[in-house]
Amino acid sequence: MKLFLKKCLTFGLFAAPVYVGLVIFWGAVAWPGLNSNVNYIRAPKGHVLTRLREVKSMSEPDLLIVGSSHAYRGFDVRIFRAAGYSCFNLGTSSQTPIQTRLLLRRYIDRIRPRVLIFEVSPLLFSNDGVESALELIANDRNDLETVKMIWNIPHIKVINTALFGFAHDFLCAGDTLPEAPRKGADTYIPGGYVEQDMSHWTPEPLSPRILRPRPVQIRAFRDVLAMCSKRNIPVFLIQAPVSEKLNRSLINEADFDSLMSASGPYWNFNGLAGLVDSLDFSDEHHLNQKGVTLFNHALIDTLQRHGLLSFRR
Amino acid sequence: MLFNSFDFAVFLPIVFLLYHGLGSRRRQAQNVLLLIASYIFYGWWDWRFLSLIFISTLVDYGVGLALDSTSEVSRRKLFLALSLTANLGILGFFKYFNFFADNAAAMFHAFGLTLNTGTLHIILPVGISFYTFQTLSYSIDVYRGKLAARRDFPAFAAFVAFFPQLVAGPIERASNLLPQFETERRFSFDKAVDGLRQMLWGFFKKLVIADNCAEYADRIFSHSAGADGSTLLLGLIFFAFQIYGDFSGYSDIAIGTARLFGFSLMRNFANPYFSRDIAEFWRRWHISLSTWFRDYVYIPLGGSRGGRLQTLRNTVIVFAVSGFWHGASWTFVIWGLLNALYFLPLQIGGRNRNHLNVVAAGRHLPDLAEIRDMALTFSLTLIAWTFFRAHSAMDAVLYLRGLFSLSLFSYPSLPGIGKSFMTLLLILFFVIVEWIGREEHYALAILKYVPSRWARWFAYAGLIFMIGVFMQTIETPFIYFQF
Repeated sequence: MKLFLKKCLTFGLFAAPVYVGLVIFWGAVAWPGLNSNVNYIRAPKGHVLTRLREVKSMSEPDLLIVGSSHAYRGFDVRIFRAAGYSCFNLGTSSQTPIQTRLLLRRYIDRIRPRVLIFEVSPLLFSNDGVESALELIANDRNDLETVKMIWNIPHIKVINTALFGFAHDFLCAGDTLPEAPRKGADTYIPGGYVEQDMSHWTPEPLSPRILRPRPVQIRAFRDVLAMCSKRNIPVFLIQAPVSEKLNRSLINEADFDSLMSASGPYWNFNGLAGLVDSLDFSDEHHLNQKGVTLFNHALIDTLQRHGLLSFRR
Repeated sequence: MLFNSFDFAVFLPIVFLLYHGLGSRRRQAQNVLLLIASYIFYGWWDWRFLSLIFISTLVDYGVGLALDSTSEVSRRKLFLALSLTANLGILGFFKYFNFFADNAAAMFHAFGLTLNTGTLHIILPVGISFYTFQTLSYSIDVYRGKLAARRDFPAFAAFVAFFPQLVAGPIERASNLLPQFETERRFSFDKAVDGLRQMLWGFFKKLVIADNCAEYADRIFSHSAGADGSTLLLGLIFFAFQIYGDFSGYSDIAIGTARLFGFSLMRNFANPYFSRDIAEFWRRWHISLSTWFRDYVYIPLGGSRGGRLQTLRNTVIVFAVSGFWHGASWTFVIWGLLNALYFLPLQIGGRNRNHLNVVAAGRHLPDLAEIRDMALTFSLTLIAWTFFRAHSAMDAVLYLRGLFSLSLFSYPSLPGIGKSFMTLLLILFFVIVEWIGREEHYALAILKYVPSRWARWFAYAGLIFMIGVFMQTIETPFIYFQF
């Protein structure tokens, strides 16, 4: 029995480096279209690579926006600037509170924003966070925070991609991959916003869903609030509007509203007057530019009415 | 608890260490530990259905003792009837109630009558078809005098609920498994290593082959209307490897896990897709079920002892019942009958025992005739799988009509061609390893003949890499849980 346990341990010590080596080899040679669990994709849709490069030179904006594609496609930095607020949008695709915590741990002391606008959604709190984790591993530097993120998302894709990511960071000198500001229908606007060419969504019926927040996401969310509170950075929790069809399909939205209201200043912009599914959305999740303009003005107006943006320069 | 879950990865080492920590001399304590572990394993899914296992255990334990206490034929028959009624009653209610209710309503409707059968949303308890058959085999064997009744209740209860094979087999015979609970089980290094190796191969089959094939089989079957014949053929091939990888993978994990605890379970699959005729296929596919039906249905019906017609009748009955065992749907019955149709010509011609040995034994490659026979047999099984997989008999017929069209010779239009190409490569790798290891109890056992430890370890690590990189990441239950 002792011999068996000893051999198992020895095999584990042998197999671990072989596994790591093979994952790195596979990540380097495999065509990304193949079905594998090493998803190291640089510069994907959404301009995350450019945004994460830009954030490194950002300092002391009035507003820092974090969240998912609802954030980087829904909060137009130009509208905030026109209203007199400097602004950076640090949204990334499907960014859940786990990734928000990681990004803020990495950048908040460098950025030092006056206010944090935290885009929240029941869709993200119930998400496992894998998609966003893969995106950050491939498009930002990897460090101890990456390891902490894996601890919260012990998913084989995240583990494999992180193994390759660390090797890539270590072996490939310099971050030189170019990313065009214009990709498909998307245009990157300095400051982190992605403007999409005007398009309209044809509303389709969606089946009803109950979304339960994951405890691991709630813990990360509370960590973010604590991190900002420690630095005296006010946090405004904003639920950006999604199409009415999608919003109505989330049948326990009221529970999420209660959770957020109890956590800080919170506004849910779903049902915002004037937004129409077929006119103001490019898909079920995202506003088109017309919808973004309407929403952003309403948001600024709301925050100003509550005296929360009184620091305007 | 699923074998392919994090919970099981924690559960197994704990039970393993506790079990061997007790030592082989404390056999009773080991049995009690296995019993508790098995109930935890099953209760993890739904603790309420533990009561069914317990009832089944109590009934058959009691019936065994009652059979032992009397030699009066009528009383013995009565006790056996009690076991059959209890076990088949539980199985019938939970698995077939809705089927019979719906069919009765449909029949009445055909005669212009309305039958209000009510609606009972009965949950099918996982593994019910497996453990009821296992306990039944005990009572029948005691009735037949082939096995002595057992008085050691913990050993008997652990035999019924033994967690490695509780929910999807192999369906063990009491005569094989029960004595193992009654004898000392010493830790064996070689057995444990062999068990781990078989588990590794089982995980590869399930996580890499079955789950990846499932993605495409599901996609093609759900969009089969108007698809090319070549795409439909690929859908069937994916399904054939999905169900084989899924079920034989489960069996490998079950057998390997049992070996870690010093138990030897019967082989359940023996490379069925290398069969040269359907009779051979059925000697190699789900062996524990096929032999169960042979011993407890076919032979009691008279087997081949009566005339030719009676033999053929018995064969058809066994195939139909076997189909119905798989699920409460006519598609499974048709699948069983179609296999009977394949089998009968061989039986009539006395050719159903032509291929008892392994194909191309002692050779590296098969000859042309063997390739032809294997291809034909595989094609026949593919046609039968259509009924097994389709939602209705009509869907299956439409699928086959689309398959046998001129578009069978066109280029398949698969969504995500790169990914499906990778899955086809993985199937090719799998078939090659299975071919090389076809004379072993499981394919990966060939590695034990590799003299260099480092080469063996590198092969295991390579397989772990393949699992880690190509496994489907959604936790998918085993198909046979629903049976």
